[in-house]
Amino acid sequence: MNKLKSLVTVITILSAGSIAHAGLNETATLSATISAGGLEIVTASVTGPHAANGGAPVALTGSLQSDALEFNLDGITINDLNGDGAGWTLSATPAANLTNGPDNLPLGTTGGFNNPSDSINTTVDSANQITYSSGAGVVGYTVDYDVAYDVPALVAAGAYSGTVQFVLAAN
Amino acid sequence: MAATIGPGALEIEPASLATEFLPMEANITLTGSAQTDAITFDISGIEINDLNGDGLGWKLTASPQALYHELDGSTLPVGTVSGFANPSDAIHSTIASPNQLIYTSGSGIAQYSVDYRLSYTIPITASAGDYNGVVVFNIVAQ
Repeated sequence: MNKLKSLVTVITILSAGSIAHAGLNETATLSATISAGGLEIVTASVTGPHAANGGAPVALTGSLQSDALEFNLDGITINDLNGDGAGWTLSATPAANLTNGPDNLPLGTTGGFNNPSDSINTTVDSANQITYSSGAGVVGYTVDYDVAYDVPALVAAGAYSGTVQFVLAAN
Repeated sequence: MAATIGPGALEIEPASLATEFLPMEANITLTGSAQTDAITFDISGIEINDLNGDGLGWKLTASPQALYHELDGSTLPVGTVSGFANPSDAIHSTIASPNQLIYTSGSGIAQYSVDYRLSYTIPITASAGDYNGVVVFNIVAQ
């Protein structure tokens, strides 16, 4: 009889232990890593072609027409997602001439960078360079760039083209 | 001889959730745009034991929390919750909503399993780095 009582006790204890193990609330732990993005000029913001003078026609006059072809490249967009804690420098190099085969229209006045979307952290170092001093990162920063070309007195009529190269570098 | 066997537990098996769950996506990168549902977790094989002998079924609910950046505390909000899916006993399982599953049989069951899937959205202003979060699962008899 003593042995039987002992066996019942053991079974009861095991059962109680099982109930204590019950998990009415359990937690799944999630972990993810997001990598830094790039320091970039948004390509679509500079893709042309860009028309001079908003597309208005320009005619030969027989005289030099200084800055007769003005290009306004508005909304050049920068994303700084590289997480390096540094700012960046944007520089521009306009073509020395617009060309049409052997004919050239020389570079005129470069109005350069203007109208930055974050003027507090932006320094216009020169017409062709700005420095962004914040390392906190930025998305959708925009700035405009203006450049003009001359029309010489004697030049062939026709379609001229050229480029402005923009370079973005971390500070 | 006489013996008394007590009931077991209604429980979520802790071992089935013991692993740290990682995203299904291999590479997650900031793009400068909001990325809806860019991070997806597949919590497979959540295991339930209903051994309490109460003759009732049970209800399993999930409460997903935002992911928190380890350093700056910024968050990634919960995106689309596909929720519970693929129950091992589909006949007695009703997915009442993405975050609630009802098991209708009271006859008890061991090693019942079900999957749970949810996504998180990366806001445009999100920080790079490591994020952590939890999904709390709760089970009650009914």
